[in-house]
Amino acid sequence: MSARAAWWNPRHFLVPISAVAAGAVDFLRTLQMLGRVAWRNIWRNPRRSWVLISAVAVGVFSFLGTLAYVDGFSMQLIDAAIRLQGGHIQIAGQSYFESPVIHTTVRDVQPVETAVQVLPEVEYLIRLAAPGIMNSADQAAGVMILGVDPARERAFGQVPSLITEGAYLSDTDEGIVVGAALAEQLRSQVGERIVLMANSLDGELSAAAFRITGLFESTSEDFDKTHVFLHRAEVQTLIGFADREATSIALFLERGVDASPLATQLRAALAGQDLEVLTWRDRSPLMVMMDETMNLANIILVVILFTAIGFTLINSFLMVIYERLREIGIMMANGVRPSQVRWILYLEAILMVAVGIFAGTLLATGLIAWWHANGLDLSAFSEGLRAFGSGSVIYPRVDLRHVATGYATILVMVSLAVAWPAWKASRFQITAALHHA
Amino acid sequence: MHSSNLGESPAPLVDVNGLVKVYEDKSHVPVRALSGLDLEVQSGEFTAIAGPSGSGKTTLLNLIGGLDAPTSGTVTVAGQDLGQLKRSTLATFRLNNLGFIFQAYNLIPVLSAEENAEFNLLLQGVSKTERRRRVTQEFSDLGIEPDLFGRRPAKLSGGQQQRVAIARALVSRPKLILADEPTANLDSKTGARLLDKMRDLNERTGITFLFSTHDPMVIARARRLVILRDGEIASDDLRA
Repeated sequence: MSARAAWWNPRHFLVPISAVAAGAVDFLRTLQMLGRVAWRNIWRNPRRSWVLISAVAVGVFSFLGTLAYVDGFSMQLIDAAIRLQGGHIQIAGQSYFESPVIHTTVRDVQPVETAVQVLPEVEYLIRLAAPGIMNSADQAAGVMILGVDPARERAFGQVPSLITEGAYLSDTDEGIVVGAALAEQLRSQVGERIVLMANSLDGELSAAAFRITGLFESTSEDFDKTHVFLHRAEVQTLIGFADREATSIALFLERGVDASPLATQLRAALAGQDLEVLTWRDRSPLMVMMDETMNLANIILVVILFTAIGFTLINSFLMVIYERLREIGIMMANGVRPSQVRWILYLEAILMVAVGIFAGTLLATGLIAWWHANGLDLSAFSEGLRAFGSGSVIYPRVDLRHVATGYATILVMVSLAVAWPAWKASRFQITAALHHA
Repeated sequence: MHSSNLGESPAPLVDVNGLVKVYEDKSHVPVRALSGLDLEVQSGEFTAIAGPSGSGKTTLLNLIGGLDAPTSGTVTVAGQDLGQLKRSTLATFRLNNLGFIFQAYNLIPVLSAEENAEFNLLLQGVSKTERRRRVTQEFSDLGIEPDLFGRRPAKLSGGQQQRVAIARALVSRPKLILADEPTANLDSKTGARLLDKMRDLNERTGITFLFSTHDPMVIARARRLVILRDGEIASDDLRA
């Protein structure tokens, strides 16, 4: 066989692959034995081990408890904002998100609906939006007029579930639903008439009177003071929109579904139609920043908690290696490599921490499940929480990615804490270690 | 200087040249444990290094075993200059070429007798079946009853522990076994029985044994006796 032809011969790869596999088997076999030594070492001084395990369990419990609260608060905030303000993905006319004017619309919603309907488990709401002024008998306020399809809103929207007085729009009535805060500001009540004024597409001032059918109260007072809901047909008449025209199509996804790939899919499906498809992350950098800040805060919390626990680990493992100096000497004399001595101590720490993580997680899971079912009632701070756009009852929950990041951080912290004692142990002079009493 | 009279022979298993070891005692006063010692040990020898306390026996064994580094001089074992090896490579060299038997048995307390004996084999990557076969064989040869296999060292007598330690040293098929006062903590009957076993193993398998001792029983069984005094070889005699 020529040298040129030989390189692709599978035999050339089989030898290194089998060597790597054999090496891996040897490594795992050695690890199993070192792990056995490490596990038994843990239980030689049960009291000390339980103190360490308890410290880790309390740390993990505190971390998960805090994480559940922070994640629950954060997810509730983001979820409420998404549900109220345009969904996980929003489709609008090109440049509408930069400059939301009534002339920039989706001219024909039909192809958009066709593209959206093929996506699995996605619901959507078609909306018309226009700025206007709402007048009561003696007050006026600037509002965003939203034209909606009441049947679909009742099925998938947020506002119908937030009605505190009166009722949401029926399929036939010609009423208006306003925020309770706005009604209070305009000194209006359910059943009273108000007048909406807005610029139509042709630049003329347009006005119409509506009877208030219901008041809503969301988690955001700002939203309540600035948004009113009408039939889409009423907004079409008021502003002059065409029948199949929409300002935006809001898509709502199941919890935990990543919006980005779906948005990419939609962009491809709607290419060439002068439309823009944005996820909530694209539209709300502030929320993204808040989400990322929360993640960072979680990691900082773990680092702080486990720095304290790390010092306990360092202290314990320094005691451990001096207690076991002779054994370390025996093992090294018998051919255990310095790296394997370090492995024993790492495994011992990791196994102890794993038990602590398991215990802490078990306890925290119970607490979080109870919290999640009953909610954490923070009514005392309801005004403050509403300012954030959150409800006064927080339902703690955890984002598993944050838990995984937290656990990974714990393992890194533990490894760092054990690194010094482990390094010291692997550098002992064997004869001195063997003569240690 | 005394030298062994082994005649024309292949490269020695152990070749010690100009070995010097200077310690600092607790008061940081330098103590010369070995003073330029030369020694050759051929494969298959059953040799005792004797001498009074402080003569350098254990130091010499530790240096030959790569457990300590000399102040100067070289130690070559199985053709390998130990001074040239890094800590990790030296550990692997010990694992594959040397077996140790210590006065205090030095078993790993968290492992059972059987696990202690197969410890080195696991490090060598020997398969489970082969490990079990070798350990059972050595335990049987050394008279360790099966009901002791699962016991931890704390539950074994001194003699039983030392037999497990010998089994641990033998199962990995080392070229050289270094035994530091192996009978010091045993009663004379047990000591004699173990020494006979070791001599028998030496004759049957050709494994080289190097003892550090002042036990007359060991000296009586050794085929070569090296006497150290003040870190130097005072005599070196081959016996029948």
